[in-house]
Amino acid sequence: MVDVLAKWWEPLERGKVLCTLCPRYCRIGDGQNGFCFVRKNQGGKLYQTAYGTSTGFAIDPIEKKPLNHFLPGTPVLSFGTAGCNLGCRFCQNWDISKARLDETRSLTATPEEVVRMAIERHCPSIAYTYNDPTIWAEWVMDIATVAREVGIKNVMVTAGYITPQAREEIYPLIDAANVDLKAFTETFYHKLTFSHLTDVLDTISWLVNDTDVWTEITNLIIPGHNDGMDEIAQMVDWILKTVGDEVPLHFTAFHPDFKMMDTPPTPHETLRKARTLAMEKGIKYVYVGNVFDTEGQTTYCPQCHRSLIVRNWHRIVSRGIHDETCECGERIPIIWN
Amino acid sequence: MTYIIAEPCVGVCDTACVEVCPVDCIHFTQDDMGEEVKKKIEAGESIEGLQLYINPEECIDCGACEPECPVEAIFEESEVPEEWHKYIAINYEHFGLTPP
Repeated sequence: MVDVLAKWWEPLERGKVLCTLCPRYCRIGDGQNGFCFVRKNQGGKLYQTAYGTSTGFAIDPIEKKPLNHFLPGTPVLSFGTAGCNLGCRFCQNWDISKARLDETRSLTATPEEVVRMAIERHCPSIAYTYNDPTIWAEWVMDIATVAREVGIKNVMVTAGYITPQAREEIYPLIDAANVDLKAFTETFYHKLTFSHLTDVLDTISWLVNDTDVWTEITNLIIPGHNDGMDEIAQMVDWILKTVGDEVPLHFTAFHPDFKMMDTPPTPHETLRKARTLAMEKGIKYVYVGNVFDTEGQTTYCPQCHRSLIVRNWHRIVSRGIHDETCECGERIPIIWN
Repeated sequence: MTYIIAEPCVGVCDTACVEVCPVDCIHFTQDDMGEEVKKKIEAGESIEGLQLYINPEECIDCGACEPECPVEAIFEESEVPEEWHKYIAINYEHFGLTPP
């Protein structure tokens, strides 16, 4: 694919450009890439070099994103590119997120080809995922526009590290998002992800309160780094206060990876404790992920406690709800089509 | 704007910053990126008085190196502590550039 002119940048002195896509605001000289590796200054203009170039396509269950209240039980065409605008030491996908584009075996596709792939594989939605789609949003927007025309929905799986200016252009095309809330301390964000908590909180608040995007939150719990129940309680309090009690929250298990090989996997018990804490505080839909735990993956009616959607890992085992209302009359926020 | 490596790096030269820099702008000499320092450390030679430098022309101001430094030697140019201000000029001059 040819490089396309990037959106979201300004020219600076001596041929440099300021990338305004994410709060890192890289000042990129001629011939250089930004931190994300895929946005490159060529001759004083910023180009998107990941456009049309995927590290591979997969058909995943939508529950794997994870999204439990958006098109439950459906397959989603999923793909990402190389690069990332964060630098998480615990990255669970670092072989693609930290790859420079020429190191990956890449597949190319036009927006029309991607959408056709979704239609042929009977996927009602497309997920921009694996690395952070923020950095290749130009391609996302072109695909999402074509997908919308044929009734296919668009999903972003993101860390939410994006400027207000960029997100306001991208998210009107997006139907659902899962945003990682990686921890609830600035120290964790700064030291372990090379990004900042406040920018991420701002994106989550904006998505839920100022857009129509269906949003769920994921917190990857890492032993010894963000697994304190006090920290999780503060996070839950912020969620309740800022975006309410109906945004689903997923606590997922870490596996040792990238630069955090010496940290053990998350004990199942930690996930259970976090889920209980969040539900006791009042969040209605709380799940655990990356472990086998049918109870922790089932959607219960918050009013009558009936099992509405029973899941085993990412598979739906049984379903006791087919619209937005439980038999008891409680309204359950689920997007079915 | 650029990031600056200040006094805590002198005699330490950890090079964790070198590994995370996306544009390879952290150097020991103008041509290499800490390799010479690494070799000295591996050979058990003294690195007393040596430090790493950020090329202000090449730095994209992304900030990745700053949290990575184990001795907190790296600062955004406008945030270099008063007592280490001379390191702003030291970094620029290492690459033959005129300090601001």
